[in-house]
Amino acid sequence: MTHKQRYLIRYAAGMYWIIKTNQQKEYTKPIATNECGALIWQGIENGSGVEELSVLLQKSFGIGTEEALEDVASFISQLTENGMEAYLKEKGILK
Amino acid sequence: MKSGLPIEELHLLSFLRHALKGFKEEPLSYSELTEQQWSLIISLAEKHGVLSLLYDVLSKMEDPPTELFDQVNEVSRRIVLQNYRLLYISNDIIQLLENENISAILLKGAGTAYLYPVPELRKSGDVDILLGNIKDKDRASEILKANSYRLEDKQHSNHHLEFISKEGVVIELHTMLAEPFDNQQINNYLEALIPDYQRNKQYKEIMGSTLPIPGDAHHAFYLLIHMLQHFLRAGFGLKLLCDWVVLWNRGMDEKEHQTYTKLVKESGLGGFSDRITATCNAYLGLDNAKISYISSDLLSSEAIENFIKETIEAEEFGQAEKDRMVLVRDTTIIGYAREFHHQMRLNYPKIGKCFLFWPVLWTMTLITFLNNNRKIRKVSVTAILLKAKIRSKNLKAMKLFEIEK
Repeated sequence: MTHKQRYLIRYAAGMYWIIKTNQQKEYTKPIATNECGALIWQGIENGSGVEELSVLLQKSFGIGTEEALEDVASFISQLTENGMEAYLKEKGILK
Repeated sequence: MKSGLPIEELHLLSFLRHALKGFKEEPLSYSELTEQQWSLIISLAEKHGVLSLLYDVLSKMEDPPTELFDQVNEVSRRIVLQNYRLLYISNDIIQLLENENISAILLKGAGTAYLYPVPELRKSGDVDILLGNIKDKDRASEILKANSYRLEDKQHSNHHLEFISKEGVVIELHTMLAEPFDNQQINNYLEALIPDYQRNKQYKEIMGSTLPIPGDAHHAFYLLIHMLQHFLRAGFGLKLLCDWVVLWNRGMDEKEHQTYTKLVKESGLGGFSDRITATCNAYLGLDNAKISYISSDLLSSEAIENFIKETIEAEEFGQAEKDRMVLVRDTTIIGYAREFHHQMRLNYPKIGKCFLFWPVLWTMTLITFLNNNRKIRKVSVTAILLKAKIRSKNLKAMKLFEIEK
């Protein structure tokens, strides 16, 4: 059996939860996020870069460029703090 | 739906029905509910382990009671987090065992939660894993111990071994489907069925993990056995009925349905199964199409209303009242004596096999029973026996363990 998808986003109890799939040995806690985070996550999954993610937020929430870029940066930092650096590099978000 | 229940109970059932059916059916009008009634509904839901199932019901309301919604919100998020952790533990243990060629099947937990509209919202407290072969018990136990799962010093059951994870989660490694019943025929039947569970297991993708769970018919039969086990003791609450509703409403193919029918017929549990199905249809939205084979007499009978009352009164795992301890299959002196003897055999499974020790073991069982009633449960023997008699009232009609020829 192969498990290509390493992370999954799910919606429960009014929150989005980014969970690591098929976990063994060490437990990685899910990352709880809101609609904005979920949108950025979907963008990352679809291969969008930081600029595209920012545009996505601007269009979806009617916010300015600066605020959108801040939100993207803050979300990426949250993911990095939760051990997803390798994944973000793989997706081309981090170098 | 019948209406002999208090308004709070009717509303809780209505909200659960609404959630279990994926919001396709409107709940009872709740605009007139007072603050006190709302509090009772929420408290009752919590006692039954179904509070988180109300999250989406309340969040879709225009004006839900704020404080109570906050409470539901908090509990629900805690349950979501707990479920992800339990999912990880389930996956970890199953992988550890499968890596050593030990077949393991996840019972209940995530294996049942996946049937729900939002699996994360089904409350679960522990991890139950059935070994596909009882001979693997010692080897499986060693593997878990070698991977930081601690075997509990004191084991409370004959049908599983209890381990504790480093986070404090209880893991039950089952070698039997249930604690022995006071009927050797059903015990033998259940023991012989374990290889069937192994043969019929299926791998399901559940919340991002691929886990082995029983085939549909065996899944339903396990839930039935689990309910019966609790029913014959202190009782069980609404959560187990909710499991039953989502399992049947999801649908089962013809072959699996035939297998289920065969299992209940061979085990003499048809009456119990019908009673549960009819109750879930009347109160929790189990589809009408699933009850076509049940007699109209049963569907309209007082027995169904009594069954839901018994379930509501029991709360989760019969914790509601101290006098709820046991249910006897017949309320004659012989019936009580048989149950007493059964309890002795459960307490002393090894030495109890030798009849020469029985008088001593009966005495010890009686002393423990009386002591526990006085010191721990603080309830009289008369109250326990009376409760057992009342609860046993409708049991005869279920023809428990009576096999049709």
